[in-house]
Order: sequence, then structure tokens, then C-alpha cells
Amino acid sequence: MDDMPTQADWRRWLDDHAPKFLLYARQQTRCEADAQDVVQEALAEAVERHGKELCPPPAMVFATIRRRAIDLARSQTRRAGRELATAEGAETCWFDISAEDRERARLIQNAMNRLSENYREVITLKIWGELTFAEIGEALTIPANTAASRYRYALVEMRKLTKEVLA
Amino acid sequence: MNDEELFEAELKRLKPARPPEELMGRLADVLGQTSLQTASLRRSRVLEARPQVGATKARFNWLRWLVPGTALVGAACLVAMVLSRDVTSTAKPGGNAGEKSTASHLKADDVQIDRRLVASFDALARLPDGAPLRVRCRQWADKVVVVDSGTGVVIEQTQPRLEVVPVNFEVY
Repeated sequence: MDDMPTQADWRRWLDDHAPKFLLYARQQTRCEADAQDVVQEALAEAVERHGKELCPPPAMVFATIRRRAIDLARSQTRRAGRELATAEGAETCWFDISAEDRERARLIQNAMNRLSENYREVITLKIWGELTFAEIGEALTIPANTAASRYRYALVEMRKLTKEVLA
Repeated sequence: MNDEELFEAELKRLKPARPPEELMGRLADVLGQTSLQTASLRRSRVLEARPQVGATKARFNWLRWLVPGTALVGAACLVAMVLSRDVTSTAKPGGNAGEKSTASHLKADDVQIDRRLVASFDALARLPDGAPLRVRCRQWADKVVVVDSGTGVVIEQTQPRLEVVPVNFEVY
């Protein structure tokens, strides 16, 4: 496709991918405002690096979100960290929920929060980010095989944590 | 379908929540601009200045103070300009009485300071010893609006500002 994306193309791309990016950013940052800022900055950087002619690959955006989130975490002072932790009283729901799924969503979100960070990010990128193991490996700078085995261990862990409710 | 696949399917049934419309608007702005250099992205809040990240980068720390300092000086100059205009108008001999009266009553009763993120990008520099130094650059547009509601005078000034923050290479 040689044509530059139109506004409508960008909008569709954004509708498809922004929820995934924000979900991942929420797990990588300490508060909702940070997550939104990181998504915005990462998207701007990915578009600039990839060029305006094509939509950036989601794997690149995920990798940029991760790097920006690490930068941000290192830059925040301990005082700011305490303030953020206090401000996190109202927890943001990560998923779109209908009435019957509300309990399931809450359970999965809790389980995700209890997973180790390595497992959580692989699960998120694979299930909701819809990346291949090769792309996950690229985003996390690990071999694809490591991403695959991490994913399997993470699924086992998740199943343990949600055993009572899910199949 | 084995147990693992069933469980995966269960997880996939949940869809990530759609971002708030305000964020979607900001992201659409990012994608819709023809050039990031001219993008005008309103930040939801002001991020804190980043702390020092290493001894070799310490020499660049003054940059972070230079930039907000420039903005402050700009704002101060603007206020000084308004005040000096007031004084010169009042002191001008033979001046129109009406003008004198208007000028002497010019008083800023509302000052608004707005910061807009124009662009954000990374750059690579080399220290004199050849070591690489990565810096994160943010271009801001600082806007100062001074309003005198009594006379209806509104003075606006927008100044570009570059924020440069060194970033550890270990991040990569």
C-alpha cells in the first residue's frame, strides 16, 4: 500500500490499538495519568521513528511504552511515589465489562496484579496485544523461545490464581 | 481444545477497556498532525523534573534550570514591559489627558500561564571523552496571558522552550 494513511485510517488504527496500548501502559506505570502520558509519548515517538507513511507496528509501540515507562519510573522521586500510591485509591478497570463479566474482569485483573511483572507483560502482550512470540521477544529484548516458555508458565500461574472461578 | 487453550479463550473474551475520549483526542492529534514539530499536545498535567541520573551527566544538569529560568525571565520581562509602558505614558509631558488616564489605570488583574507540549524526541550526544549520552528533548510552548479587565486590554505572549534531560543508557 503506497498511499499515506488518511485521517479515517489513523482513526480506525487508533480504535483498534489504543485500548491495548493503554492496558499495557497501565501495568507498567504507577497511576492512570502516567499511563496515559506514556501512551501519548510512545505513540508520538513510534510514529516519528517509523515515518508518517505507514502506521507503526504495534510491537514497536509496545516496546516504546515499556522503555518510556522505565524512564519515568526511574525519574520519579520517592516523594512522588508516595503521593501516587495514595492517589491510587480508585482503581481503574482494565477491561470493557458487561454486567455478567464484571466479576470475571475483577478476578482476572486481581490475578494479573499478583503475577510477577515478567509473566504479566508476556500474558498482556500475547493475549490482548495479539503479538507473536517473536514480536514479544523483540519488544522485551528477550529470545522468542524465552517469551514462549514465560507465557506458558504465566498461564499456569494465572490458572492457579483464578482456579475457583474460571475453567 | 485442551485446558490451556480453553483458559486462553476465557482470557481473550475480555477486551481491554477503551481509553477515555480525552486521551483518544490527544492520540488522534498525535497521529493527525503532518509534522510532530507543529503538533500541539495538551498535557493532562505537568510531569516533575527528572532527577540526576549519573555523575557523567551532572555537567548537563544546568540545562534543566536554564529552560524554566528562560520562561520565568520571559514572563518577568512581559510584566516589566506592561509596567514601564504604564510609567512612560503617565510621565510623558504634554500628553493627551485621556491617554494618560487610560495608561495610568492599566493594571493586570489576571495572569494565566499555559504550557503545551509541542514535540518529544530522543537525541544522542557525545561527551568530550567520547562516551555516548542520550538525552530526551521536549519542546514546549509557554504562553503567558496578561489581562486587565478594567480597560479590556489582553496581552498574550508565546515562547518556545526546549527541555533537555539526560537518560541513562542502562534503560536500554
